[in-house]
Amino acid sequence: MDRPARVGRRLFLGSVAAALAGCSTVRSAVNGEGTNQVSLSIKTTPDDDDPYAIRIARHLSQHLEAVGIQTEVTPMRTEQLLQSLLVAHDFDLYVARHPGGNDPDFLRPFLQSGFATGDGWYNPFGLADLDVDRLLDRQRYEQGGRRRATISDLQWEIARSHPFAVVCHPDIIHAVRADRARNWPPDGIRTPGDLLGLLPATDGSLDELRIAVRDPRPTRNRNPLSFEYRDRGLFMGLIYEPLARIDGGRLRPRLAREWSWTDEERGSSLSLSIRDARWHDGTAITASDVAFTYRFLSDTTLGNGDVPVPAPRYRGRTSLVSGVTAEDDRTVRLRIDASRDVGRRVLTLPILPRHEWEPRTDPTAIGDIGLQDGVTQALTWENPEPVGSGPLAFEQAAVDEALVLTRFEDHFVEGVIPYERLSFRVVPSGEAAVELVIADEVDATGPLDASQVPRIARADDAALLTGQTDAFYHVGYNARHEDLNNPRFRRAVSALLDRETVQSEIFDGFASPAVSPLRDGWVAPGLEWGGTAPVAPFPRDGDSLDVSAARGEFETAGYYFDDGRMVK
Amino acid sequence: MALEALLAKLALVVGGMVLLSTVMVVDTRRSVAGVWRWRDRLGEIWPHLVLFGAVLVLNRVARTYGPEVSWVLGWNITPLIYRIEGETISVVQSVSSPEMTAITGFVYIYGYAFLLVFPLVAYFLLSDSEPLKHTLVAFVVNYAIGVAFYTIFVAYGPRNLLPDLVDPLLYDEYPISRLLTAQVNANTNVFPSLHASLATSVAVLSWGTRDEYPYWPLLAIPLAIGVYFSTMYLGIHWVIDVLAGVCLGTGSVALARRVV
Repeated sequence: MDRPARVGRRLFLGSVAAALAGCSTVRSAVNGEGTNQVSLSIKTTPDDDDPYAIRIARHLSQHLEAVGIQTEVTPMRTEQLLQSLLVAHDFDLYVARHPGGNDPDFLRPFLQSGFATGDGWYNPFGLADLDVDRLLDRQRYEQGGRRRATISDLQWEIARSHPFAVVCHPDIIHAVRADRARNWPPDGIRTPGDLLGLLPATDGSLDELRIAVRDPRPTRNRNPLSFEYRDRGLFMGLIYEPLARIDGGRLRPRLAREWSWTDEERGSSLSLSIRDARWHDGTAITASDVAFTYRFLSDTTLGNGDVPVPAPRYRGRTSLVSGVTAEDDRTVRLRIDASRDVGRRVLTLPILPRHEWEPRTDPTAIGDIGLQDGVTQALTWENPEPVGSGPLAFEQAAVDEALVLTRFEDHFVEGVIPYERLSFRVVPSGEAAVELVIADEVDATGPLDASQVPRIARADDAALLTGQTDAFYHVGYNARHEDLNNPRFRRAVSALLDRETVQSEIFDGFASPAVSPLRDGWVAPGLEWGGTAPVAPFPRDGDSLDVSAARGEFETAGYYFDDGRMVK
Repeated sequence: MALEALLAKLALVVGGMVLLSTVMVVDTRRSVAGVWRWRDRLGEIWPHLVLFGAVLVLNRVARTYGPEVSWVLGWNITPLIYRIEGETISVVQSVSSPEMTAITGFVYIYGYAFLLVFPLVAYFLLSDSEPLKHTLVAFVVNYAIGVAFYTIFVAYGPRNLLPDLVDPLLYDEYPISRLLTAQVNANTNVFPSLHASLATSVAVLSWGTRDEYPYWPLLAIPLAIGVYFSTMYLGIHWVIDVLAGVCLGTGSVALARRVV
């Protein structure tokens, strides 16, 4: 891999002198007086939290330095990074993984200008592109082929406007043992159903299914509304039931037994009948819990605040709901301001027990989400003992060590889960997770990185599960930044990403390079990865970066170069 | 269980090393005489022991809650350290070999534990209680100052910032050892290196007792240098962490000698 000459002696000595003189003088000591070298910081997670992201950040940083831009890579703990990006919007560039979505409507809150002031994976870039806004709105009310065409136009518009650069979709990788449980999903554990569909390898049932995970966040906080502590929401999906799940592209009933759609003047409405089911604490689930959940997730103050405070993690979906009523004890009517194709996603929100959450509508006292107004207790509560209606109920947790769920005997779905408890043990590294599988201390690992694959392949007792995911690694640009507000500059930075090298050297081949955040049938014609990026291609000179071609892109954006340093 | 087995092994190996060194470094008559005086010795040093125990408890608490405080303060000095020393650490790793990894892994875990435990045993057996008091107080100062830095700053080690250059050799070769080190410390606590500082304190004190235990500095000083090298070779600490650790360790002894 091409690497710029290591930090030059001049820079090194300059830095030492600067450090001795105090941090504030670093910039001028390094740059010399009078010039204004462009300088960018890249925020990401450390190797312990995500071995891929930090390597992508380093890759980009080395190419930025080679071009003449001063860079600084700042590693941050995952929750801290997400707060910094998604609440404070305090960054220049970042490298992170977005969980992705199986329906392109997740792009609406991710990119629409109206979401730029909120918390969560909602327009952290500060993008305000009227064409992107318009296409996002249009697809919301469309169906089928017409929507597909709009989504294609949208992807091209996003590529042009360039608020972020997709790097690749990572593959999911697990190590499992087959001697206690079988029927592991061959392409990885992605949905709650994958863990519920396991079968005992021998006669009888297992007392405990044990999984080693790297991500300690569920041991610290179990609030389904939190976005800093949730990733794909797999744990929460086991504890909290939605009305329906989307599985294989189709809606499957869960808490809702059945439903019927009615077209309205704009959007549609939906009448649902709720199953006779119970919460983990034994109380009955009613239509009032369901109606409450939709009102509450749309505004966690329930109308008592000066401004509505929606649950950030679900704002994309709650923004599609225009009304909800409990018509009787078992029937709910939802009014949806979107087409059926888009609106059905509303049914996948977790249903919350009213008696647990209604008392948490007050403004938070500690304000630990940040300094913003309008944060309710519902958002900051750690929810130590979650009460849901899912097939597994919370049993116990120890911070940064373990989380244990237990089978909920009153669950409505036929068919028994083949284990009494599901335990998650937090391990400090992928290596340790694989070793615990081999030592028969756990039955499976959570997601691992590709560096573990040889270790798994060599072990007799461990099998590899791997498959593609919707998630995507991306470089985000802060459009509020004085240089990054220029789309041409952003594209010139994106051109420094050598996705081919990233895929082969950082992901060991376990990733699909991409320029579109969408997957499968949704990628716009012409935006597929074909060995090079169709937008902002990497200027290649043999195996490495063609520095002068890369600089040419920045020159077009209005920058010039002085003694190898980029200035403006 | 993997972690328990590792802990048992640690206790056995370090116990063995301490026993062997006691036989070699401390002469047998003195050992026996020293053991018989345990009651007097405890009478003299109990305030220091209590202080040491209190600091260990404080250390435990601070390492659980400290990282939260660090993140609230938000002083992440990782990029500054990198800017100052750059990729120096990859030079240390250029001598990497499986044997070197095995040796440094041993020094990092077992050698370090031995360095901390042995002086407590050896100085307990001396008729003069001063070296033991110095050791306990120096440890207290090391921990107190080290933990203060850990609480104030966020600093990730080279293996977390430069995974493309620095292999986390210890954890690749001995994955289970990671279970142990994760129990002991958070990954944002690397500046200064307490491994380096405590090893330095022990080495400096060993020089002070060279008349009583002439062989001890010959063991302690090279081992301390081995600890410095290991922490950098294994990608755990920056050069700056080790330098700061050496200063802290030396300063702690000076302070201990002044107050005792």
